[in-house]
Amino acid sequence: MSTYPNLEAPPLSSAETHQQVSLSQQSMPESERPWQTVVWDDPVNLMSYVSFVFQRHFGYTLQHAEDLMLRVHHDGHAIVAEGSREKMEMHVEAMHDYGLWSTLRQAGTP
Amino acid sequence: MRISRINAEGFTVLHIHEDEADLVETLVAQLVSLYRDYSTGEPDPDPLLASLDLGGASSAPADPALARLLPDAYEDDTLASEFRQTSERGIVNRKIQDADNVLALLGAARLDGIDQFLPDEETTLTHDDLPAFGSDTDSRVLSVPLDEHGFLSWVKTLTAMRLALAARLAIDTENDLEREPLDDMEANTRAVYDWLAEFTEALLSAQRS
Repeated sequence: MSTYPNLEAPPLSSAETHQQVSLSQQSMPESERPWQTVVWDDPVNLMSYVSFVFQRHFGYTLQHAEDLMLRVHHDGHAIVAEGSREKMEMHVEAMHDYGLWSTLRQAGTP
Repeated sequence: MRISRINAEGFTVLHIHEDEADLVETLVAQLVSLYRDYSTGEPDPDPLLASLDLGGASSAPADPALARLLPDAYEDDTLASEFRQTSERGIVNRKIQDADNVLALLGAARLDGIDQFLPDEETTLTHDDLPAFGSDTDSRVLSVPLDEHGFLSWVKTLTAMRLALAARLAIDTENDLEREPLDDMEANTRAVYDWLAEFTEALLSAQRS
């Protein structure tokens, strides 16, 4: 994502919490594990646009959208939604409509 | 270019110089032909059916611009291929609809003639300082009112144009943005790319105000 200077410092990321979640999900039977929508960092999409898309499509608050956007930017990707495979496919398709780079995967996939 | 916001009606108005409008039209027309040349078969004339059209290729497009516009939905190749074969055509058709809407709104603004829009109390001028792209700042100014749907078509299409240009400029990482242009043509493409980014920023900030 292109960087714009007037952004606040990122909150200390919850990347560790995320890892714990996926570790516990790894022990779940495959059929019970939820699917995830992942958005990946790219050098083209503007940070303000990514945040706008998260608010507009998922209905997230400004704060939550900004947190997720910064996680994408700093960690290279972020899980932006979890649920059934069909739902995540719809989200990924919507992200592609907006021009964001997004994939779906099952939680706990190595 | 100027962007204002009419809060009462909740829409955003673009005040765009005619030479800037020409540039946008040229780029959008190129984007539409990129999509149309790629997509197989005529889209359904009904816009809703076209947007739900099933079908698609079995692997990612070879053209790097199209590959960015139509990325894989799964990291696994087999799953990505299966998904693309049912979803891709609908996505392409929806992208064409957004681009066509941008062209239609610009076309209507040209017919309306001069910028009849004067700032008043209900108006917030959000971007009076966006640099003009063209050299002829005395050219006619068109006013393009954008409702929610129009606004979305514009920001999505501006983004699509930047994704396509980034592929042509081989911008793969943030470091590539620092690279010196190879020649005048690349420098010009970079200038357009940066202008489109500023334009998108301004539209998004107008929408927040």
